[in-house]
Amino acid sequence: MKLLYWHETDQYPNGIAVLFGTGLVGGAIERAVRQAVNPVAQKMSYDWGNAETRRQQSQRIEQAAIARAADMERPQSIAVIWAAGQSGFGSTLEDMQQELETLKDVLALAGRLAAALPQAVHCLHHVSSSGGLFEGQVACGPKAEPRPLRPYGSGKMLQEQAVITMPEVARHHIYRLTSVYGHNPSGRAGLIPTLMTNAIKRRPSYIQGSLSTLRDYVLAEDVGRFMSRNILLPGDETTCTHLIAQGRPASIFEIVQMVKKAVNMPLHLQIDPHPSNARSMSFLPSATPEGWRPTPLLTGIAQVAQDVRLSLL
Amino acid sequence: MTKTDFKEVTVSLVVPVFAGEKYLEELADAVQGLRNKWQEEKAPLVLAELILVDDAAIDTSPDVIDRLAREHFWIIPLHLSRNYGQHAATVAGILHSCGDWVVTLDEDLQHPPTQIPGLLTRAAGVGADVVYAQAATDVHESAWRDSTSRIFKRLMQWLTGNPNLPHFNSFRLIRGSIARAVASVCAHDTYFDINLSWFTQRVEALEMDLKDERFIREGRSGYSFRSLLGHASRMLFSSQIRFLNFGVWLGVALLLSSFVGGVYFLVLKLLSPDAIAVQGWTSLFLAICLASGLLAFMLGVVLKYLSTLVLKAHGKPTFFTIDRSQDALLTDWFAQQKP
Repeated sequence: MKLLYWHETDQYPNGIAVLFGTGLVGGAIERAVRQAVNPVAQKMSYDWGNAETRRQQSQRIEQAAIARAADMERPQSIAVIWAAGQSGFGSTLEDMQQELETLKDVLALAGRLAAALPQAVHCLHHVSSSGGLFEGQVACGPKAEPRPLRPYGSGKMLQEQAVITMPEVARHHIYRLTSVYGHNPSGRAGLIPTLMTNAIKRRPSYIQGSLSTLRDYVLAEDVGRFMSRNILLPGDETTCTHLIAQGRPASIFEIVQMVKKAVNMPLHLQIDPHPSNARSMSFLPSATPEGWRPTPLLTGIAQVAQDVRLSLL
Repeated sequence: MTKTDFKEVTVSLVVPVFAGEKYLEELADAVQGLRNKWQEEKAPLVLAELILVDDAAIDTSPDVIDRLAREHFWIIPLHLSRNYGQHAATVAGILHSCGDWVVTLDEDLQHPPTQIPGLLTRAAGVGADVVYAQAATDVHESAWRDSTSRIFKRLMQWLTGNPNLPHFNSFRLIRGSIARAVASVCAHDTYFDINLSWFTQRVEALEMDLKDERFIREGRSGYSFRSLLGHASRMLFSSQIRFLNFGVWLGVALLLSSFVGGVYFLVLKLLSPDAIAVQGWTSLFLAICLASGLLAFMLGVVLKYLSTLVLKAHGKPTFFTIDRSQDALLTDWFAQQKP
């Protein structure tokens, strides 16, 4: 995890962000915040497996945040950001339960910070999953209701509940992300960078879906920029749920064609004949929040291809 | 409105817009009517979205589209950065669609949305992947315009070897997965309907009453001679195989005839040396025939290789899988609707 703190700028008040998760989405958030306010970043350990170690680390994070606040003379905003989900579509109930426990520890930390620094605006930013909540639903509009079909989705719903029912922190932002793509050399890679890497390394790619399966892809950098605005300027709303989608579905077949063109190499595909994750999902642009401007898929894929190529040089 | 698994069949409508300010509101009302009708009848059908693609329209259509999108969450506005043409606008719209079925139609209501259930009935009934609307009578009510259109399509059918070409129409119902796959391999110089034949042979046509009201009223066609030539060249370049096969077989024929002719004149020269009076004619004739035949044949082979590469570059797939299991839902529903 990282502790970010920054001084007041022309556009933004000073503040502190406690960022859990420094993977694809967390990394994009950090880059966007860095671009806007050039914060000081302090890397701190946080153990996901051991509850006792986590409790001690949590106290150290709390003390560090309070110390940074004391240096700042009246911090305006304090954000606790959860972008640390490690679960996936195949996660079991136990996996989701464990993730929920970890989240609850983070929420408890947010509560303690709110009590210790009552003069600042406190805000929770929680990254959730549209895929888990709306699996199998297409053309989801603004009034679409989540209907999870597996433990992953139900677990994500429970996480959202835990966030919005937390009275100690005044403001909650929930971001329901669709399939996030981007270059993340050190962490989990999604379909798009995997296809690119495998094409460049001349390795086969295993598709766990049908070629007709529809998904909605958003670029990690877009997510980072959108979330950073809310982190730096928390606004007045108490609870706000954002559906972060491209609003334009893409079949796996189309993604394969786009990747092929972007890397200018053949793709060797192996397709799962009995895919467990082949349900389509798509979202209407009318369901996405105001001010959300996603990068067109073709442009985003070209950018990621460039990053993947450079990292493999 | 959402769909979970196979309980509902979703339909997306794609409309390229170039000069539609007078028609768009009425079109949206008509689509809303069909959407409501399916909801009221509790049909297993959901009209999920109407995608209005502004192809750098020359009137106030972009504003109308944005207004309609604000009024109806299921209307998706799409603004192209410049005028790319109806074909490209349709492809863009299809790539933004999510429906199990995609219907493409013109902006000016000459393709009434009320005909969509008929197209769906035909598609599900026979397991078709594409159903074109086919005018039962002359569309333009102009003998010259209608006959030139027919002649053009027949000529193109002969040149491309595509049996479905006379049915090509911008009012079409396409299985969603196929529509999106075709659209994703469409380049600026390929023809959408020709590329459809790379993915399916199950193509049907449904006769209905269609009129080009705009042409009948204003006497103006959406197709100029120049755009017609553009269509023709795209059709030919998307399906160039027949030309190239013709080239290969012409080369083979030339080579064989030169060989047969060569043998004949060689035997003639050997058996009856006086029959050919000019000295050296036989050897020159043989050399020319063999060389030109060989050249034509080799050129045909090279062109054939080239065509394979071009088709590969255009994205012609080796295979594409399809799931038609949802069709039963539609056939059952439409069977119940019959009096």
